Amino acid sequence: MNFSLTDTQIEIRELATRIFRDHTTQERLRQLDRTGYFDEELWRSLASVGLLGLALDEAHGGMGMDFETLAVVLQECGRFVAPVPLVATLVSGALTLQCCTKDSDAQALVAPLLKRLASGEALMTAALPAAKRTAKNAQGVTAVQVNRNWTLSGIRSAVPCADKADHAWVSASCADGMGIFLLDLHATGVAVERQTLTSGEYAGRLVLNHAPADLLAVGQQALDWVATAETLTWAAQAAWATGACAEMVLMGSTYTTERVQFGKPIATFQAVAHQLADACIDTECLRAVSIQASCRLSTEGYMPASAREAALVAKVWAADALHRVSHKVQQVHGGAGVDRDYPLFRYAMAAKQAEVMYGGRETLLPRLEVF
Amino acid sequence: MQTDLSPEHLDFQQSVRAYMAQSIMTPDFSAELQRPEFNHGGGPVYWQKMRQLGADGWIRLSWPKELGGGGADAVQQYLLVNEAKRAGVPWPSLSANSIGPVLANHAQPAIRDRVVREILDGESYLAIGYSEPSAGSDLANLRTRAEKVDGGWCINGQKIWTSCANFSQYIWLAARTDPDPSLRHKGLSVFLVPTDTPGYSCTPIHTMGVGTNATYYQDVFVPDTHLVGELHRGWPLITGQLNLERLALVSHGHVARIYDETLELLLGDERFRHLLDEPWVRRSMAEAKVKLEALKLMCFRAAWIIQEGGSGMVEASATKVFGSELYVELGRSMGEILGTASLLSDGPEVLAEGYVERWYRRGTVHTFGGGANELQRNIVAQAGLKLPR
Repeated sequence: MNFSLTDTQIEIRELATRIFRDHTTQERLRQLDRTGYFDEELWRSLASVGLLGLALDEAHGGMGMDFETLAVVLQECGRFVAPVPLVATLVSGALTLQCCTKDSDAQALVAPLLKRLASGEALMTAALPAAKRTAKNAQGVTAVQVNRNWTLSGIRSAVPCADKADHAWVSASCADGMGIFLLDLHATGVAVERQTLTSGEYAGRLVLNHAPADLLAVGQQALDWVATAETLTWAAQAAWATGACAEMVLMGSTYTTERVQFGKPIATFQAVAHQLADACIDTECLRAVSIQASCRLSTEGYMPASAREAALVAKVWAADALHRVSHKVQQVHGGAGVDRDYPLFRYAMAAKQAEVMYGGRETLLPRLEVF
Repeated sequence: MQTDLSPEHLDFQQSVRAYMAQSIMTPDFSAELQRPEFNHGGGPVYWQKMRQLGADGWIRLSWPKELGGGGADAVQQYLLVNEAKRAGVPWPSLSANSIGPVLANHAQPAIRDRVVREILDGESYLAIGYSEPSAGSDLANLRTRAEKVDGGWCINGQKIWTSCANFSQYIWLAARTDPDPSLRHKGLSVFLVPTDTPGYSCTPIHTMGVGTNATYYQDVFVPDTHLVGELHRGWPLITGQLNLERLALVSHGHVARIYDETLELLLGDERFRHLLDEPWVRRSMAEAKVKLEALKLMCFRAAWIIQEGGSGMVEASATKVFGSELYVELGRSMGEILGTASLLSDGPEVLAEGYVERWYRRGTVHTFGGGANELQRNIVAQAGLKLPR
């Protein structure tokens, strides 16, 4: 049993912390609040030290590190609410692409793209199917094959980063059930309508009209692809959420220690202190299950049921902790906490977004296998 | 990092599990434990089993090597207590894991070797005499007095919630030795009081759940040799072992038990199998599982921190709050699934020999026993988050 980081992980964390901290001055973030909360400069800085390719294989120009190490960077990203959508691009996008095309027919097809993703030249996102498993999904994309060419038609809304991504992998229904397709977002037949998410980040509504696409997986392989994407994404979000929650608790502690009312710091009132204690306990529970998910993904891989289950558990915890922690920390701040001149609001908005994106607690609990 | 048990720890866990199930929780012991006067132990089968635990080396397992023990690390200690509680064994954690080693380190040589041997052989048990009618959470307010007399001390006072005193050979007693009560915790000392000492008496307290005791000290004389540690310096002895004890109170195996019982009934009992098709049942079970996973890892992490030399104070307190509240919540959600049958304490169709019904009546103490959750939250806030007092 071991809950400590390796020396390499500590170094990588320090590097990530430095870069995120340097790029998240209040002045800088205020500019980005109005322009889709994405920092090109930060993206390039991360690219220049190889962090965008951290978990991609060395064969593609990545650093070949394990998920646990990627989780360290994601946690720091959450800690600063850094304006780069690493979960959507590095994990749902690039890492999923790498994992799911290993030893498959599509491996050769995606190799050049993976190289460009590792270097940060290209940016990839993913249009996963909705996390809730209902009999009918109102919105969908259909794939049709004519001769050897596939085209996609249909609509997918709120696809993270679709406004700025070069590529996306998309799930679609086809003659053989589900298919996973690689879409060039600049191709004909692809219209991306920019949408703004609650955090201020942009997303895209994909309107596809016979858009040409490459088949990556079909049938059972496609279902496995989605399962892998979810496992990796949930675990990644849990790591991000751990950083965000920890920072919110710290912010709440600092604020209430300094804020004086009735002649004393409000932290001395138990009603206040106990809310923060509860927020701390929630954060530590999240940290614990997030570590379990990252560890299992690193040692067992993303296929075994135990790794998948750990990721799902971690995402449910993330949804709960993000909700409770952000509300309690906002509560102890009072009005000062919602003022946009104070940094907490970005955490609160990002927390709400991360709670719901890829499935919240009610969506995911029914998917946990108990029996 | 590694959050799953290592092969060595897994082997250990399995061997403890098997031993508890096969050698300790035999039907006769199970039956005896259900009798109210023997809930915590003290019956004839209990003593047989304690001696067996002693003879088989389990009690000494958790003691440091330098005290003649097995030197089990904190994770192993946690696993040992966890498996025992999972099996429903009234594991003698005070003597085996907490007070026993403190006594071995701080008791005077004249009594130490004899008492230690008795404990390790499973012949003697200790009960804790801390709380009093006017000193619960505010323990430093305690009033039981020990006055210096010729050759020893004369003790007068009363203790409450002295669980297991009715069958223990010794009371581990906190008393005020400095007459100035304003010194609070700085004027306290710890004594080992044999329960056959004249002036000592014990009366049962019947609670909604388990039985416990009040103990009375009327001019109880103990020789000088029975002072443990330094005079007026009892407080560190009292607080020293608290962190591992808190984990033991809410160990995963113990809190998960009602979930395990419910799962077994849903899967294997005709009366309940149809509920597997109900979405609300599946959801309740999923939610319980999600929370129990967190408790499992919180316990492991706290034990690991203690093993690595940290105090684990904040982690143990956080885990105690979470685990105790989860215990109560699971009683409610699992009880709903099991329905009216969960209310039966006796008669046909009783579930798990009454274990399910007892959960609520025995369980409400978890959030205030072993350190009230309000105080645990204070520890998280002050020691963990550095909030000012």
